[in-house]
Amino acid sequence: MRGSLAKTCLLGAITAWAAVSVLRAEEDLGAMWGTAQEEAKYYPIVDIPIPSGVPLHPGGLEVLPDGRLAVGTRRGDIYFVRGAFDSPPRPEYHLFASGQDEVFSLSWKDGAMTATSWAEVTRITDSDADGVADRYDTLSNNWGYAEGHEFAFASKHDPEGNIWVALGLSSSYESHNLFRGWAVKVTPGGKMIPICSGLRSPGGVGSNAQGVLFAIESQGPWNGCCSLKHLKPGGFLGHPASYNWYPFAPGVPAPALEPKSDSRMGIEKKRVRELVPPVVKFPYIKMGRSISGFRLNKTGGKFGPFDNQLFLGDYSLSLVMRATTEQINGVWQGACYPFREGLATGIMNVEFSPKGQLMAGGFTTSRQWPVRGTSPFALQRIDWNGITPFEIQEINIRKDGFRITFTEPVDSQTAAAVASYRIVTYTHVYHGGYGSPEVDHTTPKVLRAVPSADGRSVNLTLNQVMEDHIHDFDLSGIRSQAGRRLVHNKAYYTVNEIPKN
Amino acid sequence: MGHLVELFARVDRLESARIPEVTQSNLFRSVGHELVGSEGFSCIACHEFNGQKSGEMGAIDLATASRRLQKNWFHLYLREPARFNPTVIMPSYWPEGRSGRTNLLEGDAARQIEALWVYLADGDRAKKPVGLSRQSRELRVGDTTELCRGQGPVGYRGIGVGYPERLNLGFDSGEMALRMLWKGEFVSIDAGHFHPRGTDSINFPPGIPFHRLESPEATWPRKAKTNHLFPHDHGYQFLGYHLDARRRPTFRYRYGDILVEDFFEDVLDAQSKAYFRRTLTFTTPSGSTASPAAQPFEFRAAVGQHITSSSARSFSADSLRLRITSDHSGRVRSGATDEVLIPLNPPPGRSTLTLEYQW
Repeated sequence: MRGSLAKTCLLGAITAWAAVSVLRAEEDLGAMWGTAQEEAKYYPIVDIPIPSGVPLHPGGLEVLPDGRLAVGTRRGDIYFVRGAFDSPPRPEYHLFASGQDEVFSLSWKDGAMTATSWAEVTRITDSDADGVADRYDTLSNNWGYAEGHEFAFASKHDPEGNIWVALGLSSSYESHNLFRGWAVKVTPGGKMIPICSGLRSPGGVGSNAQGVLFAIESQGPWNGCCSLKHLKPGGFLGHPASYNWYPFAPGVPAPALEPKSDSRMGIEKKRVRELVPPVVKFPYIKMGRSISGFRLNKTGGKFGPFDNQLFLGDYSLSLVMRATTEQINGVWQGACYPFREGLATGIMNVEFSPKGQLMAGGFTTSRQWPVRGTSPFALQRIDWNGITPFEIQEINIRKDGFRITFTEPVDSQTAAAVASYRIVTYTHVYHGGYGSPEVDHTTPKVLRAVPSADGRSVNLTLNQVMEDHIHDFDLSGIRSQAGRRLVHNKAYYTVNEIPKN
Repeated sequence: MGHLVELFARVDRLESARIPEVTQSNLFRSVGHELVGSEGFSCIACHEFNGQKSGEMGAIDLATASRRLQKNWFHLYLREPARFNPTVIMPSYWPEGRSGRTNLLEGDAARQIEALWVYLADGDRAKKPVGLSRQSRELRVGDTTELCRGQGPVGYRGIGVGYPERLNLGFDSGEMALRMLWKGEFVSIDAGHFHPRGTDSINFPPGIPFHRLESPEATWPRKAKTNHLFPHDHGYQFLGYHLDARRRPTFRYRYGDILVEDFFEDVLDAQSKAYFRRTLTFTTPSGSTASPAAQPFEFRAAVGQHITSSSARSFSADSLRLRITSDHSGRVRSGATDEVLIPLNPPPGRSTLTLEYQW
């Protein structure tokens, strides 16, 4: 009797402790958007069942020519999954390859699967056509890998067949091993070509609609928040720890100057000519904490009104966001928009299916690194049910303001009222310290809001557009012609350049 | 305790089951394999198999069956498990002597049960059943070679290989070097890490396999913290590996313009003791002068605290016995540690160096 009472007390104590831990994790992770219920009306989430005997902690994702989904895992397996895109999904899992290091990136080309892990780019083939890989050819392992934080993430094959690899630093502040903090390009023949320096802890690599290569960057030293960075050949992308590898990259001239700490990107980009400002900044926590993988939407309308936009998964917050990019005065910049929260686990990667569905998969690791989605691993699918949500479709910059395009015609009254648009701007300290508060706030005035004739867009004229600032839009006052509110009121545009005309 | 078995046998009255003759053991083994897996009777839905749990029941590991059970009892039990234990949940798969799988061995119950016996007699060497869970962090070898890659005692770019004869090796793909040998259980793995299990491990220090020493006392090269281009600056490039029909890897790498194919196989000697035979195949172009491999060099075949040789082809390196079985000879270089070095000058075309590792 005494024993069972003690046991009940102990269980009670553990439950209370666990509840506090969960609450603390929620606090630590930041407030949710609160939009999942509304999002579900347009973009339901479907779970893809995983058999209990299949160890599937998804890293890399790819779609095969025969329509199967390929999943590369933490265990070093590559499974080919038939039926993941069916409604309801009826998946059958086939083990294609195994025995690898953690597979975070996959790309299929010319009958071979190219997988990238911490140490190398591997071209995997089934030479005897028995359905199981038997050749694991190392395309390149020529970068340094000798520390536990030295991640590597890779793009799909570019039009020339190259694989672009973004290499994380050895630690937040230092680069100990060859080309850590750089992006390199691996040719089909296995030559490794250094491209640009200055990365910190990059995630997924991919291209936009114009075929320009970008990589996700993590918040940390020299990075006030997560961002999308342009892998510009010869560029320096912000974190100076990897300057030490320029002597090993004869094709890439070293910058004459290093950035000064406790400064601003706007100041340093004028001093350090090679410095490439982040293309899209994702304000920390509001828009992700550890963005992991992204993919360009080329579904031709099957995934709703967001063709040619980038969709990004976040690991810590278990959500998906959108981004758009444009080139102004030769410099890439753009905007990000909330899209879908409430995924089951930490998202490691996203991939579009041939049916225009968005796969999202990932896992959680230890309790020390809290993740909002609590499933230890999951493979999910975000479908578009055909109903167009009322959303900010895209924000583009103009000489004296912005053009906001909506997915449906806006109500002319709310759209023409300047009070419908609340804009603040801010930037980050560009410094060697870890992360940064938002600083230098301004509140520009919207002088004029002119809806287009078809009601699909509005031209905003501001009294001032702040170069090097994030322009934080709150459009809660906007209504569609049908009287609907926006599913998401917020969007964030990173201004690196202002158009001259 | 063993005597109790005999005593029980004297008083136990159990009829003899009809046990058919096995004329094609491979066919019976393959039928048994199919029946145990998820496309047969799915025994693994309840039973563990070679340390791997597929279902929730955790019923006794089938790989131990032939060690624990007598064949006659096995036949009688499987026909009617409840006969021997009224509370057992295990059903009979041959109700009234008829099998649900009529396409295998003509649906004959006795032959199917014998097929299971033949398959399970391989114990933990048996081919893994279809549908066996792969969740366990213990990676065990059945009848096929298994591989793993990642961080571990063989460096950050390690490759572990476990062979059916219960020999295992660790190969560093960063320096293209054999780093570890061990016997028995293969590895435990966890997200890009692997840890050798088993026994009788032999460790070799880091260092590239081929080199021309600058002087008799020069240190054999290995990667130092700041030699960032090593070993590419010594002419090396790791090319990966190809698996043969039994999924044994041939490691492939370049030393200068020589293509090296490096293959290990687990072999049984006359006393059925397992050892490794290693075959290094060199494909050498003719007339090349620029490459580091253009002149004679040496292969470091073993490193130990104390190495002796009984001939130019037979060496004892601590617990390892190394033999050269091709037309090459080796020498022992003594120092802080001893090394077996084999001079090589591969001719144009294909040539091989073969070695045996026993321990």
